[in-house]
Amino acid sequence: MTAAGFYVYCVADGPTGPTIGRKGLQGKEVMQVSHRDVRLLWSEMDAKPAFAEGDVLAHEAVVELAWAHSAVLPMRFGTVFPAREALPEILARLYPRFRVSLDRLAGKVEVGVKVLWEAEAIKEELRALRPGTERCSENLNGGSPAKSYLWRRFQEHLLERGLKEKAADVAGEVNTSLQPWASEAEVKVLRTENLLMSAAYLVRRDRLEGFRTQLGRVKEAQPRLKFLFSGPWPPYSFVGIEEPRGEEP
Amino acid sequence: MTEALSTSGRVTLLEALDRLLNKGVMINGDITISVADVDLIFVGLRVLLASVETADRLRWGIREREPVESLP
Repeated sequence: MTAAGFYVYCVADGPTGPTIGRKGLQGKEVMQVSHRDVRLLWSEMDAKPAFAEGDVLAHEAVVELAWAHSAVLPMRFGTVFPAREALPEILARLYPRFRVSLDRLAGKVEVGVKVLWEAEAIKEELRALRPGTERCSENLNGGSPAKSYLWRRFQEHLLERGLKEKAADVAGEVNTSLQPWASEAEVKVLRTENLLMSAAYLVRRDRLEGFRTQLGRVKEAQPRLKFLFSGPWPPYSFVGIEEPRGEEP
Repeated sequence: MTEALSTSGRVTLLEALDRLLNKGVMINGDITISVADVDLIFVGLRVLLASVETADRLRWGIREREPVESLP
């Protein structure tokens, strides 16, 4: 039976690596193709993919198996090529970029840090800090509907701005405590109102213990925030290879 | 499979999804499916961020995945 597609998992350092076996998507054998001193892990796909959660876990498991032995650059989930010949071509074409990234990420892990706060409670506090504007608002409520509508919009705008400023302050504090322990950081503030901070830190393996201790300190110093730490992950957030659509291959 | 996942397994899956769908090497070329298509397939999981917030109601604290302990 001819394969319908060729699924790729990651680029790994070294021309060869341990056999991974039939642990790929759809229970397929994970194969490796190399170019100079890097290799690409892939497997055949029978049918047009209709991905499910199990496939996500399988992708992650294959990446982690390779990662146990060498530095890896995980592929984005769902990267499938129609022809097998495309695989060595990709390796050859992007080799210089793969090489640089593998060297940069060797011996490092990604740690996820998500910080939640109660945005509504923070807003209440911000409202309480502006008693003057509340009084003003009462005066204007007696005005025309258009005026009071505009006033409310203005108040909402001030509140949003206050929330953003406060978020930048608090997230900045958390980040300042963690960044010295990390080689690189990717920090997003207020992805949603309650998700104050969503960050990934690239940490050297030999500094991981220290980073974890520091996480504990930060958590203790911020009793009003809720923390979700995860990892160590392969360095998904730090591969730095994202070809813009339309770029000539 | 989903039903069988424990709370920490669920959080791990959400964290994994967050990375696998949004990060990693993105190669332009002969790719047959785009990331957008994958998003559509994951209808039940698209509310990733909302789910992370939902996890707030579950027990919080320092959550680590199994491999953490086995690191050298």
